[in-house]
Amino acid sequence: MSPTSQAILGAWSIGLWPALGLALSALIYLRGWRVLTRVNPERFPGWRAGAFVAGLGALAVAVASPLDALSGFLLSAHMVQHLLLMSVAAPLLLLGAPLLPLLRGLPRTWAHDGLGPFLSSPTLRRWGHRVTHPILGWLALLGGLCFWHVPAAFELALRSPGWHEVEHATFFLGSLLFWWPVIRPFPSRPVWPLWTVPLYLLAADLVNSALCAILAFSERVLYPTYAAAPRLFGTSALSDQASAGVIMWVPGSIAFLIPATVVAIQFLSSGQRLMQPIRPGSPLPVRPSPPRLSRRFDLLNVPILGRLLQAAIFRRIAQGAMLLLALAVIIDGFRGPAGASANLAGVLPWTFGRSLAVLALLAAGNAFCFACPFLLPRTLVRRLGLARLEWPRRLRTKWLAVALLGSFFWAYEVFDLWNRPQATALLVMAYFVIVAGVDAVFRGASFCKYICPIGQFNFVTSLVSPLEVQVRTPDVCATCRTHDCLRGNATQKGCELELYLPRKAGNLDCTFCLDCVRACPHDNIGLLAVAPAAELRRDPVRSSLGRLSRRRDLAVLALVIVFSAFTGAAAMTVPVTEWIASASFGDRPGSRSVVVTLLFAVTTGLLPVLGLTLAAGAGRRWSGAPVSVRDLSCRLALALIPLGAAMWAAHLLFHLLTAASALGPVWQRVAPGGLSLGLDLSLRPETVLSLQTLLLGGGLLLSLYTGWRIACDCMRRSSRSLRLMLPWALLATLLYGFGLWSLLQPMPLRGLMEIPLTR
Amino acid sequence: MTKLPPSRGRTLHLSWFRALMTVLIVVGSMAFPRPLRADSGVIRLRSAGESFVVTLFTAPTLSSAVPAELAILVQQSDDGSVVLDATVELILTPPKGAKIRADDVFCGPIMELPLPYRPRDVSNADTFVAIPGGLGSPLMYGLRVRLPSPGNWNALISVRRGPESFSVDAVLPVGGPAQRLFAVWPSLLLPPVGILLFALNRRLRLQSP
Repeated sequence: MSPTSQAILGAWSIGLWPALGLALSALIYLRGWRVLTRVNPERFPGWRAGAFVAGLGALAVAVASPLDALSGFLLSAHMVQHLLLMSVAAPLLLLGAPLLPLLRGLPRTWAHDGLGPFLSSPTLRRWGHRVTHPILGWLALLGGLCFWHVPAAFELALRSPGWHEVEHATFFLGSLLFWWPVIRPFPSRPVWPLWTVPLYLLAADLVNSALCAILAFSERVLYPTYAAAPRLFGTSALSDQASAGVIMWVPGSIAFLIPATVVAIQFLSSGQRLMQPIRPGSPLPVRPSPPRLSRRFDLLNVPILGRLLQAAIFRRIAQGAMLLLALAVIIDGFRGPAGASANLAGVLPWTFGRSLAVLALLAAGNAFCFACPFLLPRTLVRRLGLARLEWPRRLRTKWLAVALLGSFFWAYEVFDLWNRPQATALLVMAYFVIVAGVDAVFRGASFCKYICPIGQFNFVTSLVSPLEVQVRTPDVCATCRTHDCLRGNATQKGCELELYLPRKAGNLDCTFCLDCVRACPHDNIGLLAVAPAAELRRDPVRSSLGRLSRRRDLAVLALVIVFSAFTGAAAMTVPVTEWIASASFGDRPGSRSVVVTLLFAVTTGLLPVLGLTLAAGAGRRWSGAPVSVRDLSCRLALALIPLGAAMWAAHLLFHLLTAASALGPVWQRVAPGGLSLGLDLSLRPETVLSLQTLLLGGGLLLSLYTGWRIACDCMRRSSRSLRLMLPWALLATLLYGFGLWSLLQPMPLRGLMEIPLTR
Repeated sequence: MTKLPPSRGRTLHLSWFRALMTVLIVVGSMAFPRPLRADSGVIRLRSAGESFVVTLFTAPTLSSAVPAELAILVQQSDDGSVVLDATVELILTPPKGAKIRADDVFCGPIMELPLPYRPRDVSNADTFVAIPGGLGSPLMYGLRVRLPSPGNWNALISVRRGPESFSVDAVLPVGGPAQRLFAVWPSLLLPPVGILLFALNRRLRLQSP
């Protein structure tokens, strides 16, 4: 095989979004089909699932296979791509009768509350019937086909990727509409009788044949792009065009004629009966509603993984591994090279540690605290038996943690911690000393609950995690008299952070240590799936925390975390670094620090508190809500957490994806001759930016929804709720805009990210 | 005061105006000259020499905010077969008057030990070696470079294989960071579409009995 052919055959290029879309569609369909085939196996046999998956496969081959790469060089390859989209993928997908399986495959709340109003709306149903009318379907496919083969339109699609995607979307959606009246996917109602279908298909074939004849018999190249493209296989542009016409003609016609013949035979063999429109089918299968709690996903019930998580030894192993990494950071930080990109203390905590911790928070829960490396030395110190004091009552708030976390964010920017391996090592060492010192004297998890800045960040951000340590059946707790989850028992300690599970709501102050799970004698505590940020929408009295609307310290903590995300990301951009340089007083020592400190104090302290108080005050005044500005501010501050978490994730994801390859050089230095770490997560810059903007947009939507639910909780009339939240929503949208601006800015070349190429 | 509906004549006039504008926009966008597209990029240059035919592909829009991906297809002049064993170098010259700092580095991350940054005279061009399969396409020589200043960059592509060589100039129009917005517009649609659907959902709920 020639190198050209080999290279082309290997040119699979599935993009991130198409891959995600296809995988998600398959997953949702199969999930729904599994339920439906149990209820109604005749209507949803296995071949329907096969057809749907094959349709998705055809779609993947059309957009991601070497055909896509070849279509820039060969018109014939381009035509095969179009044929796959129109005559293979679309009918196969419809043969899968996808409507009900896709609906059943979605989470029940989404299908019921999200899509329900749309599906039951008479107006939208009427529009649905109009859109799937045979005349519209016929015109959509054939009209699109004729339009896009006009040389000017085809050239436009070849020149512009955006228009090219519009062209493919037109073909694909047009063919879905075209095949709809032919295949009549359940539970659609046919508009025309069956005998019209062969005529419908033959008329389409006629138009298609005329178009193909023009391509096949033309004596000049119709599309100049292909005349100018490199000829890879030695075929001339004109013969390539003729081949394209033939491909479109023969297999294209077969795709119309075979179903026409099948339907005609069906019609003739069944006689008069099929002249009537097909019956809409049997009534929709109704799934009996199982008990509510059994439907929720519980990670601890997953085979093997659930057992592992519950085993105390597994946590010890995870902590041990993290401890080894922390020790490596300390040793390399002090003894390794000063360059952060070649030092474990530069790469491990700042590029990998925090990025993976935040991604784990958003994907599952508080994984860092679960595997916290600082707890092993603390456990040893505890054995001395000196921990007899209670944490001072006055300090049982988050104010100390706010000050420490704020100081950490400030020090990170002022002292460029990411670029100072020695300072990083010192920080990690100091952490070990302080944890051991505090917990050697004070009982319980005083350090975790009231001091640890990393812990506070994780607690707050884990409010948007999809998993929560919760009781499985509240009725069981109502009869419990021992409360082992809080107090512990002879074999297992209870919650050191003083969370009583039946009254625990949300992940605040939960380290995911799972001590409560092991302590519960009724096996009634799980790691259950929850809607992200759901616990922020209400304001119950929470165990060990009280009402969140009364906790100004927690609100300020949330604001510091949220606004630091935006300040930290903006501080990396060229416009901000240049502004800081220009605002500093020449080269005087410490002048940059003063400017950064002022900027930091304004953007993460003054501005958030002032902005939020003004927004809450304006909303309250406008709506006349029977709630104090303080309470409202506290709740709305927490509603910004999804947006802040999204910004952190977008920022740190950028570091992870652009600098992951930095681990290779460091590993080569630390373990020369060892296993080579060929880690390369580099994606196209636009893909990274798409991911970032998608995260940020999702964060904004979740924040706005949470804010709206809080407003509804405060008000009864929805128009007044809107008034209550609108000023705050403006603040959130401004933050989103600022985050977007930061993501679009160029970065100055700092430490790890940019390494000069061989010259 | 009750607002009267527009007269039929005015409605017709408006719809004709809209139709005319749509036609003008479509025709205008079709007539607008753009580079050719191929292999998920555009052809910036195609030039044939005695020994080689060189085609330079780039992304449709180049931005100073992110590394630009340059892919070069080298073919034999006589039979069009793809050449994969040549040395391909690019000499990139910044636009006239570009403000580039001495510590700016053109290239993005690769799997190598970091080299010390070298202060250099920024008005001089820099030379880069394109690697076969460097951007994942096994047919092409590729490299990822940061072009930190907007404007027209000059790329001198030189191809060498034994005694054969060929050089050709190309212009790379680099835009500012705002251009990136257009590249990620589907992701930007999420918040407005989400809010719109939510509002529609609420409205339909209120309407339902």
